[in-house]
Amino acid sequence: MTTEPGGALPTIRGVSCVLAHTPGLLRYGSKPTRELAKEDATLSVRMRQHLRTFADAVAYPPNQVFIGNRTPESLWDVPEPWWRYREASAKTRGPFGQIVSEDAFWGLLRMSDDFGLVDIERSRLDTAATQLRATELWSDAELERVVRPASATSGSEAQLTLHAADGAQVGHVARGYPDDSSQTADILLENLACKASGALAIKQLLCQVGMAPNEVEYLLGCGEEAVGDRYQRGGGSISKAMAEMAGCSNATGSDVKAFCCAPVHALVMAGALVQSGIYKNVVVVGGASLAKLGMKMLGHLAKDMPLLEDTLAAVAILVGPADGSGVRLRLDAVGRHTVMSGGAAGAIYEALVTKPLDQLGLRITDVDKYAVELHNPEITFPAGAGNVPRTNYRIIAGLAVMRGEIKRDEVEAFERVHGMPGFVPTQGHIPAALPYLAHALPRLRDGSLRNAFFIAKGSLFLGKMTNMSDGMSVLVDRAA
Amino acid sequence: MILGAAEPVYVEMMAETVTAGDPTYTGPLAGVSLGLPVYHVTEPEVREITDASVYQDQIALSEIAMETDKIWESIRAVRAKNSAT
Repeated sequence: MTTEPGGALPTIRGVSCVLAHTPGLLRYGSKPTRELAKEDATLSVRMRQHLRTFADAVAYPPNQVFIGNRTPESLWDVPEPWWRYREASAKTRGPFGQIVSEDAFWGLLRMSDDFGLVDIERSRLDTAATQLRATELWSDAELERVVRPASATSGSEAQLTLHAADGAQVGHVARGYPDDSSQTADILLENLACKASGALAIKQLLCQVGMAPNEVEYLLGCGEEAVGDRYQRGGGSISKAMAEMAGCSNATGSDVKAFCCAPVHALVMAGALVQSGIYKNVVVVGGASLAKLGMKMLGHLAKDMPLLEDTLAAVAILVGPADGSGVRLRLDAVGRHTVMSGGAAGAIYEALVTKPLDQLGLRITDVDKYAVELHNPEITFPAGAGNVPRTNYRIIAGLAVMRGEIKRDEVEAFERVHGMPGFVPTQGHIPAALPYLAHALPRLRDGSLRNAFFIAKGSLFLGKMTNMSDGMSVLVDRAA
Repeated sequence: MILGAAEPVYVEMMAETVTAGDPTYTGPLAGVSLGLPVYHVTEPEVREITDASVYQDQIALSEIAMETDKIWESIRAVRAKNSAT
């Protein structure tokens, strides 16, 4: 691509980041489901003892960063472990989004259900409707869908019983087609949780930028759920389902699949759709990943920590034509990991970092902030997965050393200057760089940040179709 | 046994696992002392026997990114204590 900087480059008009604290749903994550099936009677008790309250989840500093009440960098000053530190001024709302409770999420699940699959106690739905009304995002007609009678196939042995955090029964989720392994109740629950959280993120986004839902023309879903039936498992498109739920009546959409780097693929595609003039307002949306709740819970239980993977996260980004803000999605600085790039760290980062920066004549140190895989290290480290963002920053710094831009003894400091601590729940594609775009956008607008580089990688090899990984990157900057 | 992990604490745990036995007692090597000679891929002993151009392509960047001082210190201690050779 040789696009010159200028008015033709698209801009980022807004970013929303929402959380749903769902300790009751934690047991339906993939790992907890498998562990609970081993029939260790003490496990469910130990899990319940290690669940957080809604107040604890709201007061958790990384969650306050996610919705914009704190900067990522401020976490460096929070004493570890972060989960012990209760944010005195914590709020459920922030400039980028909000944290909703499980009570409210039951209502969103019901609202997302067009087939009478989700049956939830009426009293809980009344509570949900009240809480969702308070978010000021949903119309009366939409809230009516929360409390409408369910037609779920009660009593079906193929259904899944829903429990609240305290173990109380909440309701049921029915399966889809009989004998369809793509539509078991647990799979439909995952898909509905993705749809509901994604729609919440879209509503939040449109509210923040002051755009009517019917002005959105196209959506790109970048979540990892496989929506379909036995003949087209993963056929999609959850983006259009989210659009309908969020009232985007003038939009259609499609899903971009590339494991955890789908969000950056989708952002680049959204930019291209806008720059080409095909559409004016394109939303990139990543719904939450219910399967990843409690993914590292054994490590957390072993360390007697709360089960921190109790929160669903979703992100939505509005891409549009230049709006005078000066913020530009640099489609002329896109990095991609190709088939021939190879798997060595050096080759991956050359493809994703130095190659796109070279196209603009920028050095590694010319980028103010790198947003990498922003997994919260407090979640990953006790489970043996290391500090993911730190490893990424050290490799980018290593690349700068090899290019003679910094000295080897400056590697340590690179993270502090050009990086940030991980603050995002381990929701697969959600930590993939883009939550920082919410933080970068106001700073790019006010000029306190010149540019930020977004890098995502995807573990394609997990799908057994190839041994390769994937990666995508793009620069966002402010016109000088 | 050659390890490539980047975190000193994990390197130490893996080195223990393939020498004295799994220190976490969670895997099949719990209580099994293999006593294998264990090295980290960035250690001079490994580098000396690796083709220089391959090392440059595959390992050099990761080596700069790793805290090799800490990694070498912990793996050498485990090797001295547990490795048979």
